[in-house]
Amino acid sequence: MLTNYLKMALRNLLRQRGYSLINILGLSVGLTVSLLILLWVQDELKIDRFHAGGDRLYRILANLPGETGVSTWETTPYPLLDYLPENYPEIEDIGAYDPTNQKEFKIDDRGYLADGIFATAGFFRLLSFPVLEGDGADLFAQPNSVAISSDLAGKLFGNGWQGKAVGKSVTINGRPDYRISGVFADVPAHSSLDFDFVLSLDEQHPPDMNGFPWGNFDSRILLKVGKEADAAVLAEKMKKAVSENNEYAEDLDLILQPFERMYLHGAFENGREAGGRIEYVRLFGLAAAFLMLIACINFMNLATARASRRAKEVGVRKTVGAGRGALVAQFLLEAALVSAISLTLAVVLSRSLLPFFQELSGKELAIDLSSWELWGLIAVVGLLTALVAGSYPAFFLSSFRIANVIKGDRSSQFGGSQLRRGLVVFQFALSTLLVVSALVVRSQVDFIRNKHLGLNKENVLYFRTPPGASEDLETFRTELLRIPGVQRVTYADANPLSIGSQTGDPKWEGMAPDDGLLFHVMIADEYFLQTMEIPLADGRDFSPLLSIDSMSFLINETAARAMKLDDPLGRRLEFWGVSGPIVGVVKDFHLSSLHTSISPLIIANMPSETGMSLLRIEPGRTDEVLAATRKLFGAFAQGHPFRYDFLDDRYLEMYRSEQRTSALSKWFALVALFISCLGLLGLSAFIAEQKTKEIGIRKVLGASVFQITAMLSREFLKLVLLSLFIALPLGWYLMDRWLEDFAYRVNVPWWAFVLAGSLALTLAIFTVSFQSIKAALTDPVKSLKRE
Amino acid sequence: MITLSNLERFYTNASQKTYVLRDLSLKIEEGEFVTIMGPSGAGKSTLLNIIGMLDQPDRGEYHFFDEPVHKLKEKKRQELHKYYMGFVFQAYYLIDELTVYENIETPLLYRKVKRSERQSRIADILDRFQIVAKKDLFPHQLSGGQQQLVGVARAIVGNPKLLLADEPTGNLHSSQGEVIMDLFRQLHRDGMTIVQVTHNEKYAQYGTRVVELEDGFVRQDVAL
Ligand SMILES: Nc1ncnc2c1ncn2[C@@H]1O[C@H](COP(=O)(O)OP(=O)(O)O)[C@@H](O)[C@H]1O
Ligand SMILES: [Mg+2]
Repeated sequence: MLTNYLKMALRNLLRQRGYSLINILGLSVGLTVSLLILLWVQDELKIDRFHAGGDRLYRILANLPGETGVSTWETTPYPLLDYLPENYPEIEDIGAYDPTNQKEFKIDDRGYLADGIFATAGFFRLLSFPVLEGDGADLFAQPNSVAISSDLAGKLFGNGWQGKAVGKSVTINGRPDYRISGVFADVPAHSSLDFDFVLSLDEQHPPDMNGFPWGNFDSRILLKVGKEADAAVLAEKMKKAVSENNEYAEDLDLILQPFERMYLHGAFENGREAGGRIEYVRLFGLAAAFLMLIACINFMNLATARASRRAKEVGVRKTVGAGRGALVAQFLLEAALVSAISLTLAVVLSRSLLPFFQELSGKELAIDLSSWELWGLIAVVGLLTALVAGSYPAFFLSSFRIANVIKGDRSSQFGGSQLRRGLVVFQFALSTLLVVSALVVRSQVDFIRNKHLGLNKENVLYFRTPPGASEDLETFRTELLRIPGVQRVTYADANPLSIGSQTGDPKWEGMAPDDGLLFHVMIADEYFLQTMEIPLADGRDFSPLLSIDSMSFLINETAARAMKLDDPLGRRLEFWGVSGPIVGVVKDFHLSSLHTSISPLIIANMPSETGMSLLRIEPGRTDEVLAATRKLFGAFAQGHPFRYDFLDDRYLEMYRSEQRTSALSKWFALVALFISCLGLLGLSAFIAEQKTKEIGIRKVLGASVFQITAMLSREFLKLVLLSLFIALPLGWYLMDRWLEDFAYRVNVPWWAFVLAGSLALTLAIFTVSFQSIKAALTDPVKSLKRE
Repeated sequence: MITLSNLERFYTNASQKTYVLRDLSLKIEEGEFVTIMGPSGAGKSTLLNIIGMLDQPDRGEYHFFDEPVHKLKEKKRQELHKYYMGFVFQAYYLIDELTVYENIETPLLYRKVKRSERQSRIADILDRFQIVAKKDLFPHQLSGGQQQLVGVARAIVGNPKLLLADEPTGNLHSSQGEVIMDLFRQLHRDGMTIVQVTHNEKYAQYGTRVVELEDGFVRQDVAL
């Protein structure tokens, strides 16, 4: 039976080559994109899922209510590590880690940069990062221990590092007294934590270092609940563990999040999980599903449109004994065959597109044909496609009544044309929606890229000020300025486009008792405004010549407004134990992501507290400056590695997911339009074929090619217009909501809608009239004779 | 074998009932070779389709052996149809995408006949109808007469009890028609019950009984 069906299906495919080509092409393109997206999704879902007993792992977060709602911190006080297990026996184990900066590891004269973390011994018990050499249970028993990855061990000791690394001394960032206590296996690709070395977190917290450790939120704590324990109950019980020990944190609640959710559900709003990367997983998953649907609709439409051709066969099969089930099976098998062929093509295609997709998605992916997971995925996608594409035609075709079919072709009964129209509208609406989204996302990304931020972010190089320079910043500055191409040098404590530190501490002259405000704080020197090209709104800049400026402040316009000061100049400001006058008001510039509005800012003149050097470079001399700076840095480095960045690069980095969305949505939109047009091509060819006789008669009666083309195209163009009517307002609504996430955004650009609409319409006209003109040009005598 | 009593079949068109069969009663015994005649539109095809269980009467009773067909569920009717009936049509109705061999094989596939059994039965029939050489050709490569031979072969390959033929010779010229009718006579002699529709007086003589239909009634029922 199966062979009979397969033969039949293959012969049908070959006989109707044009339609088969349209189906297979559309499906394989759709499947290729879906497959790539699914690979990406599958990979995302695997992250952090490899830890033994991972379902009992949780991380502790702190919820702190504030004026703008509850904020959630990923870090909690270190003493919880002892306090929690003592008080809550359902905790089986506990550990903590804290990311740290890149550090330089040096043995003899060879130095290597590595990323790493601080962690407690519990960290290795909780998470499955196998320790290959050394005492896994007690990596940090000795002071100044460091555990390194086998990769780093290989770099430091060569390929045969086994047995040679543990016990050796290593110099880290110039400090020579570290001892390697263990080597762990390289962190697998599916771990969201990535590190090549681990230093002791306990050593960061000597008992007497901090007078009040419960006030320090600096550790990321993980715990594992016992097999019998109920995590929800535990979470409720330990909610107040910090407030019990810290009277200032009365309102603070601890919450637990399953460790396996950390990566995808990393965003919190008002104390609850509020998405994160999962939103992109959903968004792209949805887009992939849409593409598949659009491709499946082609199959459905062509299959039902051509139903009258199959009707006779259905009737005959029924008279020789076919039940409905057998017919459904036959048509599903046909769909499965088409989907299998398309899938094969899709696998080949996605393999060749993989490098391109990796760049687009920023992820290392592999199409490993020996992995059963991949085949599982392929099987699921193939079956799903066959079912979605094949079900409707199968049930539709198998429902023909024999008596009617056999009595003769009353083709009107092979309807479904209403549904077909609906599906075409749906396809085009969806495609146009994707085009609109792509264009709007694109214009917002362009907006972000080109937005004037209130300072000049181009050509600014910055790096950590080397330790040797901090004693005498002026000498270092003079040396830097001597480098040809360096125009200005300033010291600050942070990237001015992403200022992290915030305080509610400041008091100022003329402040109403309840007027507490949350300020961003930037520490800088006297050259900051000049270097960053931030204009003053009022008052003056810090002055290197006036010794009274030993302690003075600048505020931004937003701060001046928020402080309700008409004349802020000269008022005294006090916070963090220092005080001084406000000497100037700077024009607002963006302190953080464009997702949020500009907040009040204080710039404090404290060069000695800065730590970061920022250089304005003459355009086009970057390489030259970089080389010279590196050399100069070496002289002051004291073993520190030279790591630099550019302000504009960092800035764009902050919007990487938006840029990625923009790039991907462009492709989604193009592919969707392409597949939809393929479908239209098939349908219009079919209609033209069906109307051969009518066209012939009309031509004999004197209709022009144009009139016939118009007659054949009108119907389809109406559908496409209808779909625009649906897609454009919907697109407006959806994209307006997407843009709401940005405090600084473009207006929904009207031209995107004009462009998307005319693109869809033009392509549709082109596609349809191609067929129609072909039909209109055929010789009427021939087509009539054939009838 | 077949007992039809007081059958009615009508179509409702614009709230007006048009009767195709009215109050029709007919009995057909096993081994008969019945010819149904009558003017075009008399309801012959409709009657044949009802007997063949491809269509249902709107009123009346139909007993096939002891089975009350009018009361049976769709599924059961389909089973009866599948195992007891063979159909031959005026327009042959072969499946274009299948070869002669595969066309003949189709009913056996739906009857879940084993592969070896299928092969021997089809070989037999190809042999008997002298179309062995044509078995790998597609329908459009055959003449009308040859196509109808394949149609008959397909109808009887499953060993049905009843062969229903709706104007089987209608599209054939006389020499081809006679080949088919000779075949029917042979099948009848071998014990097959046959009901055929024809307009041809000469071909009616091949049977044992002629039923004349007019306006949905049996006008005349003559044994030959
Ligand atoms: N589906 C239908 N709807 C309406 N009328 C029908 C339908 N099928 C058949 N008829 C009518 O029933 C009558 C009998 O048809 P049929 O049995 O095919 O006649 P015959 O085979 O004797 O020429 C005809 O008048 C035909 O028009
Ligand atoms: Mg008829």
